[in-house]
Amino acid sequence: MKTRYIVGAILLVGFIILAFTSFSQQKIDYADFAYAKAQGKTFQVKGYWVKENKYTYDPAKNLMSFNMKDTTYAITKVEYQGAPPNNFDMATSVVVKGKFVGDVFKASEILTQCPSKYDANSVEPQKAN
Amino acid sequence: MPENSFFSLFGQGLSKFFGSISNSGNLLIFVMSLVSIAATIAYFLSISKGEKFTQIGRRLFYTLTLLFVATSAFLMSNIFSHNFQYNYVWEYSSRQLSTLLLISSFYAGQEGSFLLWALFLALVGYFLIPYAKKRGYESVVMGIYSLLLLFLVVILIFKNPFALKDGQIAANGRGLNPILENYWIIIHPPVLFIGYAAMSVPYIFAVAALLKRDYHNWINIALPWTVIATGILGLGIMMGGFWAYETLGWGGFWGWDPVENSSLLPWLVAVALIHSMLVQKKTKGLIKTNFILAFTSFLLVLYATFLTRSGVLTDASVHSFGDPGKEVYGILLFLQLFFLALGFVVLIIRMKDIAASKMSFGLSSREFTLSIGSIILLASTIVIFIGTSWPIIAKIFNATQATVDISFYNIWNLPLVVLILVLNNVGLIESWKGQSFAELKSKGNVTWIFLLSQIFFGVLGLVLLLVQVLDMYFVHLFRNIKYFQDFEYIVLLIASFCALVYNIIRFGKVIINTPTKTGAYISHLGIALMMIGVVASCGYSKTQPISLKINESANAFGYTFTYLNRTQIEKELSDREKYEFNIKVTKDNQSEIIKPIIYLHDFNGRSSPYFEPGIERFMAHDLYISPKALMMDNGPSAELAKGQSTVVEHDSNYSIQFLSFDMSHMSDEKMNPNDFAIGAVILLHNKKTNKSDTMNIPASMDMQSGELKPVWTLIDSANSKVEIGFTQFLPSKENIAASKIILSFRRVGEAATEAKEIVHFDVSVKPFINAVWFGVIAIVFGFIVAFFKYFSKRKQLLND
Repeated sequence: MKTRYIVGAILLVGFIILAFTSFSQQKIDYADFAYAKAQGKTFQVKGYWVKENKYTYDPAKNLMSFNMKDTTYAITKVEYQGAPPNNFDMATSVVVKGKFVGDVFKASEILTQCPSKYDANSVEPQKAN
Repeated sequence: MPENSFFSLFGQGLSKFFGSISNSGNLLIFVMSLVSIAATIAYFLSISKGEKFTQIGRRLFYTLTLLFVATSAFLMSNIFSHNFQYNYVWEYSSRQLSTLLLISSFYAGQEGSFLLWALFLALVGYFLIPYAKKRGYESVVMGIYSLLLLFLVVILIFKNPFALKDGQIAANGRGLNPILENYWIIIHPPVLFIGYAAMSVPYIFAVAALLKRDYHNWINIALPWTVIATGILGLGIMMGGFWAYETLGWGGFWGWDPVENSSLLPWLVAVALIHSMLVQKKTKGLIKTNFILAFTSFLLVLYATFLTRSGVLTDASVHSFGDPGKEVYGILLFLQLFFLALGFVVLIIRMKDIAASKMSFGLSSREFTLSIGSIILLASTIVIFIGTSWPIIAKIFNATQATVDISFYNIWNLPLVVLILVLNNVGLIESWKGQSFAELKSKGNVTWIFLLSQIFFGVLGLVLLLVQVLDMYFVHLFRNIKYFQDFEYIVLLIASFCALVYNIIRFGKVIINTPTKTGAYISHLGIALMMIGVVASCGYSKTQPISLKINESANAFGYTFTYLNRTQIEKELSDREKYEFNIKVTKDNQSEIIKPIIYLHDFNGRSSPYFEPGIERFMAHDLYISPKALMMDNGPSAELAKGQSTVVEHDSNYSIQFLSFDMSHMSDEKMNPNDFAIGAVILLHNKKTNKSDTMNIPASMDMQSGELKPVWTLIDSANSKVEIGFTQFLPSKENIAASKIILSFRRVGEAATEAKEIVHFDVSVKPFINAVWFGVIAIVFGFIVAFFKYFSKRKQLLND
């Protein structure tokens, strides 16, 4: 009886640790542009896209590009392989996932945060990829 | 969260609420709080003092239910009559919304969705009373139930849908986000909330059973509720997926989004609970497991509400200041801790009292297989829980904020699903208490092929799980192998196909004698069918971008796509400009028109278009056309804000800088009265001579459409052969001076490239997506069949 519970508990804890470790290896950390550039790995950067310089979209290459200001106010050119996500114009802030190639941040995913359906004052992520 | 600020907010909220108690909505909520307190007290007193108090409690609860119906009707009537003095009505509805969409305004915001949850809880309670009464459970169950409702009333005091709007009464409300304007919003959230409400019943029966020292019979009482709650919650989740696929244009039905995951977590645990309840029914084992699972499924419902409503998830990615949900954050956190503590404290108190069951699960018994199945479901729950909760976990352990790639969920769950399918097959042929293989074989229940194939897939599932673990330490050793993913997909496909076949065979055998017992087989064949659809439509979907101008064609996947024209729809609504793009799709001389939608809406000031995909459904695949962008093709041109410069196309000796607008000819009488004159003043710079001149590029603007007719102007008439046309005016809403212009260039004598709309689509072929829909429908239908089995059984018992 007791051994069964002990075995069960070990299995459970073991699995949680496994899933946890796997998560910490597959998770993608948040960083600012400077750090992401220095590390050269895939990161997520949150910030605001600089609306004064409109974004551009090149349909032939299916490439979108815009300037983004991170939380340290550093501005970087971001390129995203895909069409601009829905509601990009309305976005109060954006999170881009990707890494630097030269001076350009190549994003594989853009999360725009828009006025939400649940609360007009707060935001809710909108995924595009 | 600093505590003093929380309590001061709490105090402010209370005083604000009581300050305006004369408001009839507030009055209703106030009365509800009193009635729910009274009902809770009366029911708890009835535990020791008997029937008299039970009757009082029951009447109070019925009153409370009625009050919830009245409050909801009151909110609904305010929405219907556009009473914008209420902040909530102003924020989530508008005069333009149709009647059906006005219904959805009820729960489009936090306040209303809490009211809806509470309303469904009250209504579920209405049906629960006679059920619990018949089984001697009314006092304890309804006592806890009333307490739960009391908590929700407290939330409504702080998230009050009847709060008045400051300042003047607005003429119109802000309306709904147009993405949500779809018939699914009428059905999906209410179904989900009914599922959430019903999921509280197993929890409450579990706590009540512990208090009453009834460790076995409660399973029989709570099982039908667990089954129907799981079925309804599953239906709600599935509708969300269908909605996403049909209108959001992501191309998928499930994105492992935190909001989606949070509703899946209680469902998975509830499915595990149903299986372990069945084990206890037959073997008297897994007593404590069932209590814990019943607690967990309800706690995960509260956790889902917490994740989606308290702002923890969004807070993790964006630091929003002055979060409006501080009080609710506190209350929801308290709610989870309270019900967590209640359940486990009662369980610990009774721990010694629960007689240890003397069961030994034989390896070939059905109870063993079901238990392992439940464990696998919990493993999947843990994986999804960790991924979804990372923002909170990171905050607690002060780790860096991060999110996980979607592949994390897929690669962990894939082997788990293979194992679940194998266990499903094995469980089907086994009997309770276990029979040896020889016995089963003599009854014709099993064949060598079946046994060997299941062992084979079981081992493969375990190997894939092991590979996943090894991959972590050897940095994707296996995942870097070519075709490894295809191998995984094929394993899952074949395992699903086997499970589908075996379940259909069993279903066929069972339906002849006992059609009421087919629920389990229907659900399981649904899971197999769904997995076939998931692997085929996600793993083997093909996508290709195409761009079309009017009357142009493009080819993809053997189809020819032709953009014929566009039709404006919903013309009667002035807040939008909505078009169906008629795309003719031809293959083998057969053609269909697919109609993706692009529209502009006042909700975002018409600054960028909204998209809805067009779908053509075939038996074996869907053709999915998702609009991605709508643009103007101006030919050679430049977009300029004031002060910006560009090199002149066709002649790089020149550059121009946009200086200002010229409105001085606006009152010219020669012009068509519907047009007005506008000009762009530019500075022309000749690099060769290093000379600069200002010049005016005139155009006339159509007042109705805003379209420009350029007056093509030759630059530097002596030396160049290039003309500039002012072809587009891009007004800025905030500051007219920040508006931009588009200048186009052409060689003298050359026809200007006519500005043409160009639409960019992603075209996808999704094989066997229908298997997903039929699969999930079968899963849900199985739950309903299973529920009515208990229902008919009860009737029989009553008739006996």
